[in-house]
Amino acid sequence: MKKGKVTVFRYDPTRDEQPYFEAHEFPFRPGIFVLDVANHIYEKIDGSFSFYSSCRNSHCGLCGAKINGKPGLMCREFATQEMTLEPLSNISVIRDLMIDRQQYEETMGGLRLFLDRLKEPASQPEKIEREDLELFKVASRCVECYACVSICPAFEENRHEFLGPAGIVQMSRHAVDPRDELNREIVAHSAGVLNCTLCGKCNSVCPHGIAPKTYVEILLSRLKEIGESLENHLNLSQRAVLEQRGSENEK
Amino acid sequence: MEKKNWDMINFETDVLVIGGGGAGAMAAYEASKHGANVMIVLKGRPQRCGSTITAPGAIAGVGDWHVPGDSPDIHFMDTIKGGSFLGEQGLVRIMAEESAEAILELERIGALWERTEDGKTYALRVGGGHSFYRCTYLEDRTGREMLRALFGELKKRNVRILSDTIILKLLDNGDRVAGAVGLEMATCEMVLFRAKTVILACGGAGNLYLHTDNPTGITGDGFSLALESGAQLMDMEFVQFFPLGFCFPPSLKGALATIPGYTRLRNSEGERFMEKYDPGQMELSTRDRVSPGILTEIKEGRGGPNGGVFADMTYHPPGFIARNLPALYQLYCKLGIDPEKDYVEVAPTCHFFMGGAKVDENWQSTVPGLFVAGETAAGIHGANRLGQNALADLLVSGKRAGRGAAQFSGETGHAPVDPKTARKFVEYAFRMLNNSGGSRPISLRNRLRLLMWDKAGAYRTETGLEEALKDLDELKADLGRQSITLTSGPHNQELLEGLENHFLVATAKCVIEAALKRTESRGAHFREDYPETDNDSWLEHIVLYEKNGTLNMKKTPADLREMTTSKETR
Ligand SMILES: Cc1cc2nc3c(=O)[nH]c(=O)nc-3n(C[C@H](O)[C@H](O)[C@H](O)COP(=O)(O)OP(=O)(O)OC[C@H]3O[C@@H](n4cnc5c(N)ncnc54)[C@H](O)[C@@H]3O)c2cc1C
Ligand code: SF4
Ligand code: SF4
Ligand code: FES
Repeated sequence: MKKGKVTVFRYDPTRDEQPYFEAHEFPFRPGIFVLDVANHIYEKIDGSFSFYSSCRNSHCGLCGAKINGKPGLMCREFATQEMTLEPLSNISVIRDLMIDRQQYEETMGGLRLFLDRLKEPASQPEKIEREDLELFKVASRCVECYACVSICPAFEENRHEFLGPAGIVQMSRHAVDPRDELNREIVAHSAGVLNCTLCGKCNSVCPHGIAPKTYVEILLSRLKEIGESLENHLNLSQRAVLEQRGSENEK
Repeated sequence: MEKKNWDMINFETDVLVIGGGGAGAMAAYEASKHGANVMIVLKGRPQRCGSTITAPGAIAGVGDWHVPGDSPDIHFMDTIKGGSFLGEQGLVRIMAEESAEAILELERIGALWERTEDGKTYALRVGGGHSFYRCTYLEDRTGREMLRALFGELKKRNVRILSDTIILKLLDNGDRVAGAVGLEMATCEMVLFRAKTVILACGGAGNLYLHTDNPTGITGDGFSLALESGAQLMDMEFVQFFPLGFCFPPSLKGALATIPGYTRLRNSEGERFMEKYDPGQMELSTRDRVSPGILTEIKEGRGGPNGGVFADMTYHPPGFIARNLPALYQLYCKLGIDPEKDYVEVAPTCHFFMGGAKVDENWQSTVPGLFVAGETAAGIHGANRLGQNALADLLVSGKRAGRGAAQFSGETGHAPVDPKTARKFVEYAFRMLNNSGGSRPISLRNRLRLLMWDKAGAYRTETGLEEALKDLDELKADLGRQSITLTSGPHNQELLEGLENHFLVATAKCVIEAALKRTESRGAHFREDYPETDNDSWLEHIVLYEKNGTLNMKKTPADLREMTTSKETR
């Protein structure tokens, strides 16, 4: 067994003036996960080292952290012999690697994240084409780890005007549900979807291979359709954005 | 942290649901449908805690969409046989009849189950011990899909949800339940609930064992809370070991590695060894046969480098695993395993508790007003659970308990609760923050998990179990003196672990005592010193209850109202 070295972010806002970094050694073996290292620190070195994890198997979305600068799940990423561990960006830190998930969860409060429809199915199971299920299935894979939120430049720039990719995915799950009747595009609009720069950074970090940007694009193209028919209801800057996004989409 | 004059947060509700897995969420939904004022309290956060979110498999239930030949009757019989005739037949009948409607209801509130090629009906999976394909699913996230639909609906109905709160004690007024007290972990404040009825849905206790696929917070809280409140538990000796847990790396050890319906098992010689243990059903045999089979192969030297055997999924058409188990597929890729070419090394891991609170047909425990649903309740699975029956159980039991609690609440008022007494039950939590010199919760827990794995695990003997009892007593002495490193109260995971250890130890005691008493082998309970199943004297449940602080046991006959062992053949 070789020696590994990990530098961890430490911060207890109730005690520390500011965050600091701390280095620890750990027994390194190729193939161990970052969570093994975090557990090692907690169990063997310092019981006050704080992070959340629950399922150890990528389901609960709690163990997100910045690993060597890149957001990911600690239970899903290999440890490297030298590494740094920091909390995810863009969400307040509670202590060490713990972030305040409630803060982001609350931003999704107004999104009506349930099936909204008038029509009752005539009979059950209702017929649903398998291909109509695909986008729904992929969006359903989201475990709300917020890795994508932590790296989103539009969210970082103004969280009060843009919901961020995780919320977009949650909302889109209903937008692409063939049964849902609510006009989710309008909701997306008020959630600031026009602020997405389509940079695609979110796509590169999702542990479940979801591409949040794809859902932004779906919402935008639907919004564009509405925008055209409701031309006068959109202000000029909004129209300009839609035009620009539309042409980027075609590329 | 010195905390002397601490305040308490106070809530009042008709129905208090404790636990936010599938059973708790379903119960809360159902109770709210029946007009009760409902509140749900959970130790973690919604869709981030409990076993339900991790369940990849499917929900068993025979509806109009069934394959030719199948029926609720056959589902009933499969379940009774799978549970070695200890399943309560009245309850199993309810599950077999009502599960299909619950599956449809979840779709009405937003879940979507996988369709057949033509989109007209449900695609179905099978599970070990099921005679037919009868289980609906979505990818490898069936449990999460259930919860996503249920929590969406709870939000829509404005059901109050209190997260990050551990319940430490149920309150009663002598003859019925009156509420509960707990600790809000985010603020480290005491919370008092006054409720006309309580529904306990805290899941199982996988963390009692060294290797488990259960999430960290599944620590027997429900068993212990029920027992302490005067309710009876039963079948606590039956602990299921799932055959297919990962072997490496350490943080993944024990986590669920694949599902049985998609897997052939091979030993280091490449043999499909289930031929020796159950040639008829092979890998689709019940778990109480597959897990011991694997352990025997390993013991006899035909295991792999990490102490397991091999799960072979290479026989599927290309793309099959990626499509049907996308979350696991991502993980295999990460681990450098190509499931279309390579095997995955697997070993048994603690999975499920068949035992729990003894309940009636409304899932009401022996304490009036206290309902218990999901894995915390006993009855349906007898001595061994069939795959996919847990998700069916928690929907049906959640519904029954929710409805029963709403009715009960409609008929009574609040019982009085004395806040001063309530306060006493949480004081030990605050004391723990100030203790020093004791053992850390994590080291105490590791000791417990190891001792249970070695001495009260898949193979049991009288000597081993006696030793386990002795070790447990020693460990108990350290329980009250646990001390923790981090002394600030809010979000203190170590404090949480310390509190949970009390529940784990109480649960361990039940498992060991019942395992000692059952001098036969049946289902998941295997006694090396009594290897035979003894239907003459052991078609009986072991019932556990507390009286004046001591644990007592008695036997009650199994419910054989529809089917007896002599009629086993169909
Ligand atoms: C890895 C894995 C895979 C599985 N796969 C399948 C499958 O494919 N098919 C199948 O049928 N079954 C499966 N099972 C079994 C099934 O998922 C569980 O038995 C079932 O989900 C339990 O549901 P529950 O609602 O009873 O409890 P859980 O989902 O475990 O939820 C328990 C809840 O109680 C809360 N809680 C616990 N203690 C307290 C307390 N003191 N105070 C407040 N809240 C508390 C927890 O935070 C949590 O919210 C699987 C289990 C596991 C672990
Ligand atoms: S594509 Fe949009 S949502 Fe994704 S990271 Fe870039 S700005 Fe954020
Ligand atoms: S979309 Fe992916 S990265 Fe973003 S929260 Fe969901 S699972 Fe995490
Ligand atoms: S521990 Fe649950 S996602 Fe990592």
